[in-house]
Amino acid sequence: MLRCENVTFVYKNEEGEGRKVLDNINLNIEKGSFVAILGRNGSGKSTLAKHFNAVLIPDEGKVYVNETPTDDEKKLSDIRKSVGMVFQNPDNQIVATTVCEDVAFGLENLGVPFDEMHKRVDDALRAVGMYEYKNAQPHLLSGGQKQRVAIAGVIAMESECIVFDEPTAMLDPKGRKEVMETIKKLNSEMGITVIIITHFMEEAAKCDRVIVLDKGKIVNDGTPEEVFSKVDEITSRGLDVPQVTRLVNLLKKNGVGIKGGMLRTKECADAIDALLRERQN
Amino acid sequence: MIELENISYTYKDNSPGGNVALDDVSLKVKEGEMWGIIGHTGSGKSTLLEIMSGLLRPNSGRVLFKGEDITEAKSPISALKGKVGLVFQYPEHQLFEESVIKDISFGPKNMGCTEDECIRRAREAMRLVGLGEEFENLSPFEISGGEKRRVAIAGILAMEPEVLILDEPAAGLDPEGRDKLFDMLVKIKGTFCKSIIFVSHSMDDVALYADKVMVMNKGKCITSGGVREVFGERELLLEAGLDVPQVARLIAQLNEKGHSFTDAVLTVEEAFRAIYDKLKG
Repeated sequence: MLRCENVTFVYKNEEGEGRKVLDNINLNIEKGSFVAILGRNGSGKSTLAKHFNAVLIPDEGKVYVNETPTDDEKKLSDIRKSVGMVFQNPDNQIVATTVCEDVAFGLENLGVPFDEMHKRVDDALRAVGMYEYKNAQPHLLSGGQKQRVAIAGVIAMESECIVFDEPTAMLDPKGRKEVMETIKKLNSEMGITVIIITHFMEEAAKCDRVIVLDKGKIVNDGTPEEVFSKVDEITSRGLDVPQVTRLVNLLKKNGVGIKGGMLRTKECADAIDALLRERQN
Repeated sequence: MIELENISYTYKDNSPGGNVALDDVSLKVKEGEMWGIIGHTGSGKSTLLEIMSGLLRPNSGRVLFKGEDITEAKSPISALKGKVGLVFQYPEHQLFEESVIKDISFGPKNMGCTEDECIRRAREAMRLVGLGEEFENLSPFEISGGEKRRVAIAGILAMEPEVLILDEPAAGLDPEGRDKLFDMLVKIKGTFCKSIIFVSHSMDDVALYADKVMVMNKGKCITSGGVREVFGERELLLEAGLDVPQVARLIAQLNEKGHSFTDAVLTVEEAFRAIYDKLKG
């Protein structure tokens, strides 16, 4: 779906001095995968994300979307159609006065016929569970609902891949849950490739693959279990691991025989329950 | 320090009766306390902060600062100038001066401080937020996001408020930046600034750093008190669209399996202690 080959990107200031933000990134993201990108502020996460739909073009190396290089200007609209983006602040992404007009905005611009547009908007709103709000005014919605409308706008474009740049950073716990469940469903039920940048480790733990960036390089890449089991290394990169992972790590360090790399509350509760029962017997 | 007595506030809009943002809310913040305010989006948190800092005048109820009723004042905001400082969400968007030191001096300058006094206060504020001298003459636009946020907070601290109020101070920061920011707030609370009130969507941060918690739901305060008491009321929090920290969920699940942990576990370290003692004790 997406491939980066030796991608290097330098931000230059007015004096022409450069700062290397991406340093020789090699990456292959399979169709249908669910990937989290983690890294401290300034590690290059958002810069990398902007390479995935040709908002930025690498200074060195190439990015391919379905084998089309992103520097092929003739293919730009295809690339942008294949890979959609959803950003942090829902208020900055909503343009119209009703929910359905907002979702239709991109389609209108593409000149999609009226009937088809209606169908796509309805389908997209159903996919994010916002169909009943079709005629609502966006400013009356909660943050989580607004973000789901923004997601519907991308789905209506029939993107194969959606890149989410901290989609839940401004939401309350309920909104966060709503949006994460929606994203998960897009991936598992519609087969959309999902790439999510987040600072919430519990969200990353729900993905199939976690990529850690530091100083513009990929420093870790694996399943959440593999990546988060390296508690000390992850912490030294300015990140965190889910609370239960840190707890299990502490227990292990203190000689308790428990499997490392646990991420979910339930599996951790089951493991500790077993240990406690063993001791009682 | 600050007392809210039966505060109500209604935003006037087209709906009959207007949009009730706060309904009979009372709160007593004592010297030395760190309050976390939680609640879903639209629950009235930000309106509450604006009333506490004098930006809005309540429709009914009183705001007392050290016993003095400031709702009576001609201008509540002037009555609280230099006493209560409010840091908005994403405060770095409000930086505007050409250098860090000028930006931070703006508040005291507006309060009529002499130039020497402005510089003294700005330097002290920079020291409190952990910005070295080398930042003084940099443009606020050429430093990192985390540093910008520190500059913005320093700008409020330079007015030497006795109460500091922050709306989601850690939003968008990476885990390391978030920890540093809260550690800094804890330190600031021992200076001229005697009490801190912050709004957060992260239950983990509130559990870790606040000693008192107030929970807002639909414009009402549904519970408030010590952090342990409040997070003990898991059902009530879930109803309000909130949650408890992951380790607290873990302990609840273990208790459902028939173990007897106290409900007062809020942090990884506390959970470790409790579980380790049962396993090895």
